[in-house]
Formats: sequence, structure tokens, C-alpha cells
Amino acid sequence: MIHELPLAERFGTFLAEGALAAEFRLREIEPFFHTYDCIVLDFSGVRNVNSSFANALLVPLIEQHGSEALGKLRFHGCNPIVRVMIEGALALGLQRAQENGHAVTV
Amino acid sequence: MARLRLPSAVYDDSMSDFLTRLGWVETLDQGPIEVDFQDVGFYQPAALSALLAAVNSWCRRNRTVAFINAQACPAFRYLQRMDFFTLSGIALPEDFKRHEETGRFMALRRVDTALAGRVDAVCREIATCLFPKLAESDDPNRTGAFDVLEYASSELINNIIQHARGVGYVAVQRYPQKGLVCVGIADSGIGIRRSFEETAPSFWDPAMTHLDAVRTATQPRASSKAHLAAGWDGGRVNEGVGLSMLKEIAADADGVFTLASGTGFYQENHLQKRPYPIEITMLHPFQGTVCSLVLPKEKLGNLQEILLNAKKRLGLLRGDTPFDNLFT
Repeated sequence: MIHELPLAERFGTFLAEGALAAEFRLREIEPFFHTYDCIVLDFSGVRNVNSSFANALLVPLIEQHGSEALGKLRFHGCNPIVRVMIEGALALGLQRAQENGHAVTV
Repeated sequence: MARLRLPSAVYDDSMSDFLTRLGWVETLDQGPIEVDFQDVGFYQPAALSALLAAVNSWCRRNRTVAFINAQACPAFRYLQRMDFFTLSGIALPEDFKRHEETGRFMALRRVDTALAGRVDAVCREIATCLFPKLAESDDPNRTGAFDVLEYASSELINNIIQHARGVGYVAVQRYPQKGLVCVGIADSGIGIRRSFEETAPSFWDPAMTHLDAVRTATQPRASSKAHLAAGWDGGRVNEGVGLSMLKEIAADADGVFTLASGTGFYQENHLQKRPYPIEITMLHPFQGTVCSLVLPKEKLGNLQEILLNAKKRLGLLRGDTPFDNLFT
């Protein structure tokens, strides 16, 4: 089963607040994390995203769920700016997971 | 009565002196504060924001603040146009017609937790105000200045909402002849050192000075909140990357990055090709935090490339491409 989450519909074209991202993660991703095989974060229509949003959305997911998160999460419709920010957040999540002693394979 | 005679101009070079002066006035006595505007001519956006934040802080602590010679100062109309007096709670008659802000500056704007949930709209407004022609463009090779301004404003405003516990003000200005874009933000909140002290991240040390705290805040992954609970237990919202990214963006663009809080002052001035950061312990503390970015517009090319370079230099991106299969 696939859980699709269109972000532009919820947040508009600029994803700018870590607090909103954290709330979204807690309400829309974490409760369903083990229910779905695949979670698609759809960034179609998003022009820009800042570190605050990208990190609050993704770092704790990788930190807590490690390889399972990397196996389930997919990112759709990312422009080059969004992609850089997501890759940065994923790398930070990996660093944190490894610091916490979790082996994460990419 | 404490009397503060404001300097005629505040540039990057004189920012630490100016902030020290704002701190100094609080040491004089506990009576009214008289702010003398007589000489005020040119103030960078961050200086205006810092002055307004200081006035707000004094008023909040029940100090009576009086502005004198404001109407006689060379920058009177500019200060009116920036809504400086209005935001200070003083209504002065205007004897001029307000022209469009678009393309040059945006009036000072109050920043506090009431902006939560609207940061994207505010930052888009800021960027659109300075670069209206770029607002509708979809070409990332053209919209770099717009994108950087939107991005930087959002990180700075988020910092106030998340950490300051006080009121802040943001100002933006474009200087077409110099080719510069300036963003200045200041708050009258708890400051960086106390934010670290209250949340005690792993790097916290009671011996940490304000300068240590400011220096630490410019490093990646130095957040007062990154170690707090995440996931099911709480919504961790900060990984401590924002300021370090802004510092790198300024470096990449040959601009100026300034961060000050308490007695700590840190500045990288690539515009004047200063080889080392300026790190100062100011004689008197600024009650809150100030951050300023001065960026040459022509160097603000493509935001994706700017972010990529900044993240690589900070070690926030892996050199290989392990995540390719996650993107569809």
C-alpha cells in the first residue's frame, strides 16, 4: 500500500517552517509508518524549501526508523532546490542514526 | 536620565560599536532614556532593527523612552517611511507622499510568535517587495536573488519564533548603485547563550561566554533544541543548520555575515576581503540577538548551486549519491 502526501496542497509553494513540518510528520507520517509499504512525499509545485522544514520533516524519521525509512520513503516531483535540501536532511538523519549506534544501510 | 546620542551612520564596520552603545545606555541608571536622533543619517537595516528591538526592550522593562531631535535629523523621512516611529508607538505627521516600496526596500516588520504559520507568506512578500520582476519567473537561473532572500528571511524569522522569546524586527533594503541586498533582523529576547543554557545541549558549558555562544551558533548542527525529544514524543523542529548555512551563503557570494548576542560579536566580511572573522567581546551586552546579511546581488545566481556549495562546505551532504533511488 502506498501513502501519498502532496505537500504543495498543504503548505503552498514555499515550505518554510520547521514547526509545521514537525507537526505534519507527527500527524501524517509517524502514525502510518508501519501501515504502508511506501510513503511518497510529493513535492510537485513546491518552489523552495528551507533547512528548518526539510530537517524537521526528515531527520527524526531517519534517526528513528533507519534503513526502514530509507526503504519506504520516496520523493516525487522535486525541483533541484528541493532535492538538495532533502538530500541534506537525509544525510543529517543518517549521521544522527549512526551517532546513536544504529547501523543504517543506504 | 540616560541620554543616548545616536551616531550619524552605522555600517558593517561600526555595527559592534553601535550595539555596544545600545547596551551602554542601560548601565547608566534606571530612569528614563532619552534617544537623540540629531545626527542620524544612514543606518543599515540591521542597525535599524537593533535600535527598534532595544527600544522595545527598554519599554517592556518599564523604562520611559523619549525621542528627541527626531524631526530634525537627516534621516527623518526615511525613518518614517520605514515605519520606525510607528513601530515605536509614536505617531508623527507625515509631510510627504509615500512612494511604492517595491524594488527598493520594505518597511520594518515586527516578528514574533504571532507569525507562526505565516512565515512563508511573509518571506514571499519580502522577496517580492525587493525583486517584483522575479516573483513570477520559473527560471532558477534568473531568480537567485529572490530565492536567496526568501530562504534567508525564513531562517532568520524562524530563529526568532523558535528561540528568542521576545519581539523582533526585520528590515530589508536594496542598494542598486552598490549592487547590494541587505537583510537585518534583531530581537530583544533571551539571546543565544541563555537559549543554550536553558536547554543544555551536549556542547553547553557553564563557562561558555557570549562570544563562545555566538561562535558556536554559526557552526553546523549547533542548536539549543536539536537534542530534544523527537518522533512520537515531540516535534523536534530545529537541527541547528540555518545560521551556518546563511554564513556560508554570505561567504560564497562575497558578502558580509554578522551575528551578535549579549556581548558576543562575530562578523565575516568577504565584501572587504577580510581574511579572518572579526570576533569581539563587546563592553556592554546587547539584550537579544542581531543578524545581518549583506549580499552582492550579482553573485546570487542559482539557489540550488548556492545551497549545494554551502552544504558541501559544511559537510552536510555526502560526496556520493546514495539517495538517487529515492527520487521519482
